[in-house]
Parts: sequence; structure tokens; C-alpha cells
Amino acid sequence: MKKSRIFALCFLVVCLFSTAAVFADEVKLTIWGRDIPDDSADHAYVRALINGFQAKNPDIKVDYIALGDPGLADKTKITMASGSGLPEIFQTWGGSVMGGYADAGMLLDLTNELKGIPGSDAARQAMTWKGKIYGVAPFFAVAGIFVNEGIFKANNLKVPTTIEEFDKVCDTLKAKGIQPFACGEKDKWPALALYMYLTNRYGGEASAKAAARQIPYDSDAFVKAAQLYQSWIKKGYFGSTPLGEGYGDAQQLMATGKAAMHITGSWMCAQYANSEFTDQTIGFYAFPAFKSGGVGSVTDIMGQTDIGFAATKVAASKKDAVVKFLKYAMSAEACEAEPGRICSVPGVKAKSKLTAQAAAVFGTAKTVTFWWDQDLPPSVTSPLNDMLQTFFLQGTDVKKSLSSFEALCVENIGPVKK
Amino acid sequence: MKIRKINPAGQREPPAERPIKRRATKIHYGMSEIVITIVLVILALVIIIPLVVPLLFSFKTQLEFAYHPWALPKAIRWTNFIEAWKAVRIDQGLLNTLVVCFGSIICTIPPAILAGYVFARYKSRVTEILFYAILIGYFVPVQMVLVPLYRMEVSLKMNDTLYGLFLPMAAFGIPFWTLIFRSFFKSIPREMAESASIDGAGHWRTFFSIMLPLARPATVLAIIQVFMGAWNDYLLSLILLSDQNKFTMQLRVASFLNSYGTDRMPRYAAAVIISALPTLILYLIGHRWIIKGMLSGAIKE
Repeated sequence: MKKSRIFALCFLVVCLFSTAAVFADEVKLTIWGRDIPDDSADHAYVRALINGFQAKNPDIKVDYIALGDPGLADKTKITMASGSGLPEIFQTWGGSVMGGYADAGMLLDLTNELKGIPGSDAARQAMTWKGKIYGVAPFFAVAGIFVNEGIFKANNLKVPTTIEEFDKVCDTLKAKGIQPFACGEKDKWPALALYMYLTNRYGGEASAKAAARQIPYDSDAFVKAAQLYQSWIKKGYFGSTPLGEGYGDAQQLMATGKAAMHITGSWMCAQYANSEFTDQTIGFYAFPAFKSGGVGSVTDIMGQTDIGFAATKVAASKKDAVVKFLKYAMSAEACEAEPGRICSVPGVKAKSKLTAQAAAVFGTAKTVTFWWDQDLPPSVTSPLNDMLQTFFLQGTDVKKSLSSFEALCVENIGPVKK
Repeated sequence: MKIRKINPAGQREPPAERPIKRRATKIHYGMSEIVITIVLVILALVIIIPLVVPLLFSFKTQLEFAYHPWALPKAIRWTNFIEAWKAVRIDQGLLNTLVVCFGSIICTIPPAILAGYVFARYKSRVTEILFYAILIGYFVPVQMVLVPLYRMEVSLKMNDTLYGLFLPMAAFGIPFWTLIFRSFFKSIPREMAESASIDGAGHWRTFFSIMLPLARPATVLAIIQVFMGAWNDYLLSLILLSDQNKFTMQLRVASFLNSYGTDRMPRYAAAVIISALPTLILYLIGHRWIIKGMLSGAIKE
């Protein structure tokens, strides 16, 4: 009896120790992301990433927390500012926002571990700050024109191949009672893509020069682009109440064939190719250049990371697990689940015709300009979007608006170098 | 022969009153009544429409919503509710939210009542200084202290706990409710406390047996407001909670909505209805009690 009790006690102790050893070996990775990994087609990649990685790495416990779009940004901002309670990995678009966290010493430099991962240069560049790589961007978004091909066909219209052709196309559409452009300017940021394109087409690398403080933001290219934008607004190409429509409304206008074009990011490919979302035939085209008098070309593309992940300083002790996760995020196995985004991983084919069109536009890119509101210092990005909204107000002097923005940039970024 | 009852004091009892025939009051609709009625109808619609509209949206497919947002749904479909229910995980979220709400009430109202009573009844230089020191907290917005608050919670290992959420809520609520209870107790005649004292009641007896029952209207109001504040909180929950099992209802709904965006309006509407349902049920169960409590505060003798 005594022996059996001693044996049972020993067995219990061995069991306890072995269980403790199993738990001690398990590494836990906390990941803050945007999308819920549910059954929705929009979230297929996140679901495949989390489930696939967990299945392949049972010794690493992934605690993925979905926070949604502003939620993720707000929580990341606060925790980075406090420097405590950070996750190991967080979803980011890269650019200056990520750069700010890197400058504050909150991120983990993974240059040596990630530089060999195959992927597009633009995607790698977006996750690089001051020469150091902090994460990966498996998906990249580019801005282009979503065109309702059914409407264009019914009205014998061709997709503009020069900026000069827009007026004729838009006037015809307006005469037929169709809104030429869907925008969603109530949300401010949706106006940026078109303005970035117009500025590039007028002034080439004007935005890069302005950010480097070689030229001011109220220089010729910016003013001309704003004036053309404003003239289109005044002609009613964005509808009669553009400031009353949010980004969701703009999508509805396209989905129901009430608007013919939508200049926005390729992240909309999944929705516009989804028969449950729209019954219209929609295509994706590169934004054209000027026939004459312009500088930028059709191969100058605007865009940035669509889905990216970066590692924080708390991941230093779990570097192997973190690198494993980031490499899996860039694997064809995980990326193939995505139905609508442009994949930066070579060999992953687009699932829909629309995504293939967007990927083709990205493939022709000779230069990629990152979203100004993600790439400029955060102190000027909100005023930038506020300024764009003023273009939609009757009687706004765009030159004055740009001069005010330039004054703000002088204060926050620095004066133009002479 | 008529018999009239005579009471012991020898007085004749007055004849029994005839039952009053209740007649419907005639309302004469003049111009002012019509205007008032129209205004009231508009005000009622302002409240009712936002409650009804999501219900209409929630039964529609995305395309049906896109083409006919304001029409009645062609069929009753529960798909959006099922999707939203799965994502929102109402069971866990509801439990967490209730813990936060009740924790917040318990940690806010008793200290505020006690402090308000002391500041109203026991005036001295010390209590005045203390009162204004507490009042400073009322003027500090939550957003301003988020970073240090989060840092402090992490260092105290209070982040990711429900008490780590309702304690700051109470800290932000106490100054305001102290101010309210102080004003309330000040409005009660001092003679009441003095007569209790003459009758031999001590400080505690006076407070618990006389003052606290009198403060019921303000207390009911405070309970409702603190409950609603904790129920609707998003910012503090977002920053202080990272464990999904601790997420409150609002946080779950917000994550769901932000992850889909408003481009999925019918599903969005279904999630909004699910999140609002527990409060609506609570209100339906306790509306008489709530209204009574709120109205009794409006009548003063």
C-alpha cells in the first residue's frame, strides 16, 4: 500500500514536471491585426495565415487580436507612446507611421533575417525605414481607375488614355445622368489618390522633392493639379453633393451603376469582383498621363502596403518565432488564399480578372509613390486631408490653401533648402 | 326612514360620494396644439427612426441594400444576424460588459455619495480644499491621460483585467458624481439632520436612515448614467484590454464593424442591433422603475 502511494506520488510529480516543460517550451506570439479571421472572403488571407501557421508550428501559440481599422491604429499609437504592453507583431502600412515607431526605438530591426525573402521591391521599401527592414508586406495596393465597363460600352465610350480625354467622357456621362466619378470625400482621405496622380502628371517627382524640402507645396505642379481638380468638381464630375458622400457611399454608387469611375486603391478589387456586392462589370485601369505638357508618365504609380506586419522590440527574445511567422506571412501557401489583393510574393496568381488587371498595372510601375498621408510626418497628414476637402468647397482659393499647408510643413518638416 | 351612521365622536358621517363618471376630456385642437403635436411627432420620429432603420437594413442582402436602402426588405433573412452573432460573441462580451458596468457602479456611486454628503454637510477649510482637489479630476479628459494610465496599468499588471478597466472608469466618474451629490445634499434642509440629531441619531444613523433614502432619485440617476457610460465605453476598453476573452460588447462590435467597414451595411446593422438588444431588454424590464426614479428627482416640496 505504501509503495503504491509512493509510486502514485512520483508519477504525479513526473506528470507535473513534464506538463510544465511542455508549457515552458511553448512560445506565445501576440499579434494585433485589423481583420477578424472569420469565414468572410475579405478575410481569407488572415484566416489562412493564422490557422496555417498554427497548424505548422504547434510549439508557437498565436494570439491574434482583431481590432479593426481605427482601433488598431489608435491602440498601437498609445502603446507605442507608453512603450509598454506591446504585442510582438502588429499590422501596419509601413511608411512614416512605422518609421516614427522605429525612431522611438520601439521596433525590432530584422534586416538580416528578412532581406532575403522574395517579394516586390516596392513592398520591401514600404517596410524599410532609414535602411533597416522592420517587417514584411505580403500585399500591396495601387491606385487606379475602377471603370464600369458596362456603362462605358452602353454609351460608346472608351476609357481615357490621356487626362485631356476625361472632360469629354465625363461630359457625356453627365449628360446621360450618370455621375462620372465616385469619391466619398466626406471621409477626406479618398480625394488623395487623384490629387497625387494629377500632381505627378504635372510635376513628375514634385511630391518627393517637396517632402525632401527641395520645393514648396505651393509650387507650380501642386497648384495646377489642385486647379484642375477643382475645375472637375465645379463641373459636377463628382456629383452634386460630393461632401455628403462617404467612402461607403462611393462604393454603393459604383456597385449600383450610378457612378462610372472610382479612382481609389486596388483593395476594392475583392468587392468589385464579388457578385454579392455588385452586379456591374467593373475593370481596373492605370491612371493616364497628359497627352502634352505633362511630366509624369502612366508608369508612375501611387500606392502602398495593403497588408503588412512589423515586429516590436518585445519580440527580441522570441526572434526565431517572429521571423518564422513573418516568413510564413510571405509564403505562397498563405497568400494564395487571398481573393482580391495584389500579392507581392512572386508566383502567386490573382484570383479574379479585376485583381489580375490591378496586378498588371502594378507590374508596369517604374516608380511607386507612397500615400502622402502615410509617408509624410504624422503632424502634417491630417491637415493635408483637411486641405483636400477644402478643394470641394465653392470659392476655395486652392493656391492659398496650399500656401497654408506649406507654412505648416515649414513648421513641422523644415523650410525649403536653397 | 333614512338611517344615518353616527361615528363615535357623535358627528354625522358625510354622505358617500357618488362615483365620478369619467368622461374623455375633449381636446380642442387649436393652432398651438397642432404645432405642439407636430413638434412632438417629429421629436418621437427622431428617436424611433434610428432604432427602426437598422432593423430594415439588417434583413437585406448587400445588393438589395445598395439598390433600395430605404425600402422594406423583400424577405426576412437571418444570415446577417448569424454572421454578426458569431463574430461579436455576445455571450462572453455581455458577461464582461456586465462585470465592468456593475464594477463601475459599485466603485463610483458609494464613494461619490459619501464624499458629496461630507462636502455638503461638514464644511471646513479642509473639506473645501479636498472638494476642489477632487473636482480637478472632472476637468481632465480621458484622452489626455491615456498614455500614462496605460503605462501605470502595465506596471501594476492591471491591464487586460476587467477591474483594470472599471477602476479608471470610476476614477473619472467620481468627481462628477461627487459634485452632483454635494449639490443634492445641500438642497435638503439642514433641519432634518438636526432633528435626527436631537432624536439621538449619530452621524452614520443620520446618513443611512435619513439622508440616503432621500438621495434615492439622485442615486437612481447616477446608477443609470454610470451603467450607460460603462456599457458604451469604447476608448478605455480598446486601450486597456488586449485579451480577446476580456473584450466588452462595444469592443467586439467595433472590431467587427471596423474590420468590415460600412461597405457591409446590412451586416453592420445586424451587429448594431445585437449590441443594443441587451440594453433595450434591460430598459423594457425596468423602465417604470427608471422613469419613477428620474421623475421623483424633479419634484421638490
